[in-house]
Amino acid sequence: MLNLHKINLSFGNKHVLKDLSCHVEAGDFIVILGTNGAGKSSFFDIIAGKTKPNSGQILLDKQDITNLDELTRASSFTRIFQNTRLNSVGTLTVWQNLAIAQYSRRQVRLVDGLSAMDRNHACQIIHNLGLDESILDQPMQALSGGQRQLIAFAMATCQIPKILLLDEPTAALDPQAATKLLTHANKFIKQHQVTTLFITHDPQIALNIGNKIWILANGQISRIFNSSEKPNLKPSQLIGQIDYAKLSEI
Amino acid sequence: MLIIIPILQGILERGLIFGLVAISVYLSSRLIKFDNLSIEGAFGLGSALNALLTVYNFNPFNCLLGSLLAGAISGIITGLLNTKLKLNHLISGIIVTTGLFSITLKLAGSNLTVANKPTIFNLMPTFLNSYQTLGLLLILSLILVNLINRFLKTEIGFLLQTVGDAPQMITNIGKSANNYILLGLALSNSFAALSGALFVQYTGYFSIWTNVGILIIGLASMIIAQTISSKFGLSLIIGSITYQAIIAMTFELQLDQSWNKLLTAILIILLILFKQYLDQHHPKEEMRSC
Repeated sequence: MLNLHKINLSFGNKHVLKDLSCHVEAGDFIVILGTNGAGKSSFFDIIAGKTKPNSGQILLDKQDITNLDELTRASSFTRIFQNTRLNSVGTLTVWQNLAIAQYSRRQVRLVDGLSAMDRNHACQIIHNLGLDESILDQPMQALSGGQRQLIAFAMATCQIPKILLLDEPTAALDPQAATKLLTHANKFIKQHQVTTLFITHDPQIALNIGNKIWILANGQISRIFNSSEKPNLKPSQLIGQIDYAKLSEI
Repeated sequence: MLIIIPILQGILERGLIFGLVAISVYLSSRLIKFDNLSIEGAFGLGSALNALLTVYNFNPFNCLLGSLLAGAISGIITGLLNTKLKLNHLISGIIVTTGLFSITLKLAGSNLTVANKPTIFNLMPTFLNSYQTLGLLLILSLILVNLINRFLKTEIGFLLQTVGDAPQMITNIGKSANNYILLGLALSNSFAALSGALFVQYTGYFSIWTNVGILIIGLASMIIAQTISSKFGLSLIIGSITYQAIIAMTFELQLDQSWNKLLTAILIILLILFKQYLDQHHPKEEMRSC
């Protein structure tokens, strides 16, 4: 489905991605584990088209998308960021944010913002997230980080993208909120067979969700644990991989 | 009482004209979250172009329209410097304002009198006598505020409100965030230029120095407006009138006018402190217009 071939990316003297090659199959739920500075977000920037690689090729469904801009690729990729403020508009209500997400998929017309989206449909989405429908009329900025990320997830998946990019969505959340988001996301992704790439630096998350684990270190996918290896993985094995990455970066 | 009426009338008229600058500041700094310093240049450009066109006997409404379009172009250039050349907001604005100073100077020189030329204020029949200027400015302001309010409720307006907070969301839905930034700045600067053009028609005089400090007047007016309401609306006009009233008081108190800019600076600090006090003690949900 998605192929990255010998991707190189440098910022000045810093070689962030080095001859990185990988392959994502349809239905994969891959957790990408790496330390801070390993190039995880740059990896997503390359896939989403936010950054162009210095060299290499990106193929989506056998089509070369290397030179397509971020805007064109947006129809195939949806990304959720760690920073909750990037995923929704704080000053607009939850309902309005959901309306924008629906509009993006052309399911409703955004003629008058608030009235654009059917209230019952919005309520259904909120119920599915385990939230109270009273928050529909609250501005996003009045919600907790966990609630904002849950709604961001609902917005990102209102129509299933070809590939869902989750860029450390739980990093800024407290453990309880993170667990709630992970549980919901894991269930939804499995149920709808959403092809997903999930970035994290937390080995525990990598063990609990997804069907494959990639270790990103030194600008490359240094180790792959496939779906048959993953269930038998022990935390120490993963931590060992990350420690190795850290040491080799020094 | 008879002495106060003309003073009040002057405050209202200037407040309505500079209210458009407050709208300009709101559109860029609050709506699309762009610190737009080119407002000052756009005001000067609008006033100079209006003066020049008036000298050449253009219809005063066309003069306003020309100034408005010139302002919009200056906004687009500011946006292009930011989105294409990746210059930051402040630098983009400073560059445009600096460039526009020369253009303004070339268009109308340092001073240009347009007295005795037709303006929108003397084109109308004089059935309203001395209040016709005030009436016309009031109607114009109401129409413009209403138009923007309606625009913000359209699809484009709705998405324009999202670009400042979450540009990535605009990209996610397959729209160009950069285009919305350009649109926001074009709107913002066209209001500033329109204000400059109206000011020239109102005073019958253009001076290159009129636009110096105009941004801070707009900012002060907007901050006053925000203590009333954070939404887009008539509060911006009320804020501008209040600011003009405060400045008029300094005239009445016979303060040396050299202190005017310092007074404005102190006023802004006090207003910001007041706004912070209000936010802390009477927190309200900050919602935008729709």
